[in-house]
Amino acid sequence: MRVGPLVLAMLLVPATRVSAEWQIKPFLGTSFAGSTTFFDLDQGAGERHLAVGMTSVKLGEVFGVEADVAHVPGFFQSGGPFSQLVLGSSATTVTGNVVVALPRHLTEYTLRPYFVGGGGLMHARIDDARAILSVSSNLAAWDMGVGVTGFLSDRFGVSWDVRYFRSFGGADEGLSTGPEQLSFWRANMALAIRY
Amino acid sequence: MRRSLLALTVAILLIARVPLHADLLVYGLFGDYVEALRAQAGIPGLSAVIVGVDDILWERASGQQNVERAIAARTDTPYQLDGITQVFMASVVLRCVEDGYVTLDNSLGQFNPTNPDASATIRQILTHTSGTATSPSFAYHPERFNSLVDIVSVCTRGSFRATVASGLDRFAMVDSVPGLDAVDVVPPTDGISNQAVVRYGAALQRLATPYVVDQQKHATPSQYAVRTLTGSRGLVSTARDYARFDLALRKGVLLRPETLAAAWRAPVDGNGVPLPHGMGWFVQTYNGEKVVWQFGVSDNASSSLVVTVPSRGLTLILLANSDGLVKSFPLAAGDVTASPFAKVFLGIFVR
Repeated sequence: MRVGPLVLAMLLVPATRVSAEWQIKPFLGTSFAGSTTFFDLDQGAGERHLAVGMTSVKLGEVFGVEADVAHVPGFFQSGGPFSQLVLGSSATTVTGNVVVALPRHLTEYTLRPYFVGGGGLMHARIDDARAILSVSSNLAAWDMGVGVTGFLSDRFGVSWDVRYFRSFGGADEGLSTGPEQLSFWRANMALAIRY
Repeated sequence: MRRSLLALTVAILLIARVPLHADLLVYGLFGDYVEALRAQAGIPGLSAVIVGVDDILWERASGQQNVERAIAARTDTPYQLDGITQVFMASVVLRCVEDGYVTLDNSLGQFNPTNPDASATIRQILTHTSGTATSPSFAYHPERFNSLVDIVSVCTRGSFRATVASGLDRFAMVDSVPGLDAVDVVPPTDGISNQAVVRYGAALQRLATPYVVDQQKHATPSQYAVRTLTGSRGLVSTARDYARFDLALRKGVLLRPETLAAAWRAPVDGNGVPLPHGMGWFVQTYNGEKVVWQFGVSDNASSSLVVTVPSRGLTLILLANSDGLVKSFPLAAGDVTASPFAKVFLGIFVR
């Protein structure tokens, strides 16, 4: 007798039929381990920076969809010896993702892990002191990550996740070493609101 | 009365100091840009000089000429000039034209029928063009300059190395060497003296170590592939020495002003569209001003860039001991603004 498919079916089929739930997750986090081909005069991309944003999720028993918006001010600034060369900078991501979570009925009173993956847009901005190597570039990007959400009440909970963002298909506009490219990790903690 | 005079004197001094201070700020800012770009490119050592009408206006060296021995780069550190050697060859050949030994429309075959570029004219070699005189097309092949040694030998009755060695002496380019193998010359071959060989040896003791730099910006020592001076590469020099050459060139010591003006004029193709390369230098406009420039690169070893803005009387000289100054940027296509270093220079000084 094949046990595997039976167990899988038990996991996937809800004990009672439930409708999909909406979650809104405003978050604070940090970007880290960034890498770029843009002329990163202050070498800020590899540093940690505060990230703020919001995720909106429609999640069923297992699968869901998600929209994620995040903004990392000062992404290309490090406060290093060349900080005077970069007057302002940021990295902004807007992505749509597919969510695959552990079945709800198995995680009702525990943390619920999930995996996300998808794509969208990334906007990089660098304003240099003389506007010679300033960047304002939109790049196609993909992202993937994992996280957990736990609810403390019917409505409120907390969520942690870590994601990797990477641009693709960037052109060489003369403001980068080779084609424009940007990648970084983001770790964040969110307030999860269910309704 | 005395108090008024004192106030006037102070005011004049303050006014005089403002532009000086502003200049220092501008050069400081440029130096910071260059240093930031050097750091991102992972270039181990870089020497930079800006030459004005009469003298060096600004100079800065950063990083190390030898990482393992922690020897700092200096503006008198010798580097391989690679493709910038073409500028020296072009200057010698144009002088030969001035002196009437050859004309720009002579073909190389007239001097050496076995030359692989025998049908090309001197003008075509100098401008990196081929095709007909009325419809030239551009393709950057520095090695074509090697064929010009035949012209030099007709004109000077000596070798290119002998001519360059003589020029180095004449312009007091004391840290420059006509090819790494010049120290092996047995005087008086090529007119090179014992003292010159000793001087070459001393300069090469301080030659910047070449490096290959990986994506993590880790630098590993490499080797210079070229040891002999040819028409297109092999000259070793410093930023300060090149500044002496540049001043001699722009002051009309090497070539007549009209010859230099002709060299720094872009040829046009059959449709009247300017081509990127004059005779020995790339030529383009930036913000409506003429810019002449040349670059050199040896993969995993060295790179160099020289940019002149004739109307401003300015030349930027950058020499590096990795290929990071040039390799990532498509300079051979003929647009110097592909280099962020040149872009910053032009952006700050040609506004």
